[in-house]
Amino acid sequence: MSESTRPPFVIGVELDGTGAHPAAWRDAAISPRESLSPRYLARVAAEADRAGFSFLTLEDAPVTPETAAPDAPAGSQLSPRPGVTARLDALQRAAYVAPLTGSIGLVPFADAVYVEPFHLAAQLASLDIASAGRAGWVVLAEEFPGAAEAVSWLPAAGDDLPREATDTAAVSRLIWDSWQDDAVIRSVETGHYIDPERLHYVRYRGERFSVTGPGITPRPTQGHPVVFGRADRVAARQLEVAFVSAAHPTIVAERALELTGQVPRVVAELEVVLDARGERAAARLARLDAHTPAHTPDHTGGVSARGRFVGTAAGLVEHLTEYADVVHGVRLLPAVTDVDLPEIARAVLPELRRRGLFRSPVAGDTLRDTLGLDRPSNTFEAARAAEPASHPEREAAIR
Amino acid sequence: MSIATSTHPTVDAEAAQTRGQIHLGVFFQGVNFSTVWNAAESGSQTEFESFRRLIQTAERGLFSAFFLGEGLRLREHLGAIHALDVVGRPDAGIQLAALAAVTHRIGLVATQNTTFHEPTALAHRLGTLDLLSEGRAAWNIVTTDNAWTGENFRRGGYLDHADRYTHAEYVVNTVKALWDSYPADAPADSPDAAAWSAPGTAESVVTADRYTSVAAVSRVPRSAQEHPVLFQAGDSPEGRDFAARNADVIFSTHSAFEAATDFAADIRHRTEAAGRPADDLKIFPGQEFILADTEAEARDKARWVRESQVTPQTALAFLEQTWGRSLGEFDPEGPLPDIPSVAEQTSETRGTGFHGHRAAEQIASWRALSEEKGLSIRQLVIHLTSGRGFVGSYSGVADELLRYAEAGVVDGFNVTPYLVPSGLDDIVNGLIPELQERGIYPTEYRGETLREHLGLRRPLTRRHLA
Ligand SMILES: Cc1cc2nc3c(=O)[nH]c(=O)nc-3n(C[C@H](O)[C@H](O)[C@H](O)COP(=O)(O)O)c2cc1C
Repeated sequence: MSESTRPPFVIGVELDGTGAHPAAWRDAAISPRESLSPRYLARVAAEADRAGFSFLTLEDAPVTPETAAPDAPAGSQLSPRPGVTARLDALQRAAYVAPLTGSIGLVPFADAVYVEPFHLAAQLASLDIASAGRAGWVVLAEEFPGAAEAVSWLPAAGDDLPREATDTAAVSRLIWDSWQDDAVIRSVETGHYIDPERLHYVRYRGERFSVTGPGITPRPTQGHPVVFGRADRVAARQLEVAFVSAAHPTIVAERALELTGQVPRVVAELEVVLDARGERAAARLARLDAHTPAHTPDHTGGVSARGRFVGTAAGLVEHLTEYADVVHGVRLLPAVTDVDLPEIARAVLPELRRRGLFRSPVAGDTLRDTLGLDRPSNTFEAARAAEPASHPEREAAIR
Repeated sequence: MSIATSTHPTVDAEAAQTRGQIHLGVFFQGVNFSTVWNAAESGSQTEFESFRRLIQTAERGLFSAFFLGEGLRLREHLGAIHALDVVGRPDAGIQLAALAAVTHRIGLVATQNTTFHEPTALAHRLGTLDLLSEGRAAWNIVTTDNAWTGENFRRGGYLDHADRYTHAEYVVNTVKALWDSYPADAPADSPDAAAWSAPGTAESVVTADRYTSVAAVSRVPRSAQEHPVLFQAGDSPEGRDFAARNADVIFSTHSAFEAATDFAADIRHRTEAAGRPADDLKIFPGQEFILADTEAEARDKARWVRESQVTPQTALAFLEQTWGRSLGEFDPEGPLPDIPSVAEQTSETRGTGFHGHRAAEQIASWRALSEEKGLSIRQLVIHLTSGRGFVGSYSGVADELLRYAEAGVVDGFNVTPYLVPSGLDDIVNGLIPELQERGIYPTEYRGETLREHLGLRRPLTRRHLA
């Protein structure tokens, strides 16, 4: 990256379950049952917040974790969870940790296909307001077996998935914009709590869903929660942060270059196994793999492969320094949260901060502040300013 | 639908303890113009801090439950978005999850309709809330069926009004089947266990009615209270029977003593007819409390509350629903409009639940009333809408509640605070000590879960049903 005003380098951390490795639960400090408890969730989220990560992510799927990603099928956005049968709603987990954390971004995965966009938009707006502007959303669009039957809608497949996800993201933005920031006026003189001219009908009629609007929730703190995802799952123009996954930084760099100009920020996904508790990273990984083999990183650079770093904390610092030259950030996936998260907090983030490569968010920062992204303008407000009397109907014209 | 077959004693000592006790819940945000937003003390209706302050005050006062209502389309009045009342609310599942993190004992009640939420989503999100709150979640079941709300959802207005409760029952049974399908102790209690969860942990739940079908595997284990407590809000005979068959608590509008007495008799009859002990279904009418040290001060305060609620514009809008047209040219402080209505039915404000008397009859009776008492438009509307609520001194209202408790006609009240976020301060600081002195209010939270605190028996699905 060679721009003069270089965007900040961000570091996120995945906190779903007990870690990204399919055998993580065996090395966790708590049992599977306790891994579902609010105490565990609060503990790891507070630890990540204190460590100074830019954001946390929480993987999720509309079906059980084991069916969502049994053994990391090619192209899955999710970590493999063989044998894992329970997982709480990621949006609600993010909401739960909102009052317990101060500066970290809260970025749940949420399915964009088997969902009512009207509900999803309200949920994300509510998360953004409850967290004072720290919400993001990883758009999930995959062919999950059983997801359609769970809601009795027509199943979507193939190209329909990204199309559907793109519509859901676009309509969510319209719902967030359906309230102008200044809609609540509380005018004692006119008796108006809101100015109805500052609320707008969405009037979206699509093939698979429709929304008349306005939304039920005022425009969120950040205007729109930050939209994350993969450019092969949702149209790049809907994304503000694109995740790229590849085994090697040079392939990551190529992908990032392809996305330049299409998506404001590119963030690489990287699994992390560190030397810890007197055990070498490679030995830890071998032990975990002996329990349940993880997918092997694909060194040919196939779409499915995530990068994985296995080594010392100091080595990870060097590795991330390389990444800082080619992407705007990383999303770290600790192999075992209870083991790798404290190491990253202790020996990796402080060193990156010391070198001036990374700045942790402070209380009061929104996620957009942390990412250096502008607050989006309001589509309806802009249209009204241009042509005050128009009430545009949107007949599936948003793509 | 499979029903577990564990037997349970009919008379439950724990449950019996709640008799003669009054519980309090808080309903946020109030409906229509109940919330005063134009006073110096009126805080934000949107910011999380308002919710935190309100729920933490309620918990300090040992309230049983914090309710969030639901409205999935913004109300309209005469063809435009209704602008005079508080509008804009959070998603209940999200907001209550956040509030779970800053509270310890109070129940968290999400109002969710059975028409525009999928059963699997309801089971998952309410189940998640129950685990995040360690057994404090509840579902207030409502049955919105109108096509106008449906315009925000992919199915549109697919449900006939007559079928709202048959579909609701299907949805509730499906949700319960999903909750029952995943035992609380199935996930392993040690990292050294043979597998993450017991083999065959959650069975697929397969159900269908004429509107929808579900084939799903649950991914939330049961909670410390087994599953969320079920509230129901709906007042028709079908709604009452639905509650008698399915609910733990009914949220009603019948708060005046005589109405509450009749309602209790009716509900107990229906509950027994449904094969349950008469006290199995708790009754919580919605209610407003306007309190002060003395009766006279409380009356002054009530006058202020009514005048703040019924603004000149609100008074006109109230009449416009019946006249069916704008009355903007009339003076709210003057006499009633001397023109006829254009509406056959009083249904011009959508989303309020007003149904209708014929407009002409209504207008005639209001005109007679305002002439008899010399009331202006605004005074008439205040007169018509101020019958509700307890207004009085702390000790006077406590005596009034003692009467309800002794007669056993309600199990609690759902308070609609007229001010946010300070609207519970009077109750918690002034009324509750008086109630406790009279022995009709809890002095601590009982147990750790909402089910325990309300003295409820085990969930219906886990009891033996004939
Ligand atoms: C006290 C009370 C509170 C209610 N709150 C809500 C609410 O928050 N959201 C909603 O959609 N419906 C609400 N309702 C409406 C009911 O669920 C139901 O749809 C309506 O009363 C029609 O059913 P019924 O014919 O049995 O009365 C409420 C009803 C009552 C009596």
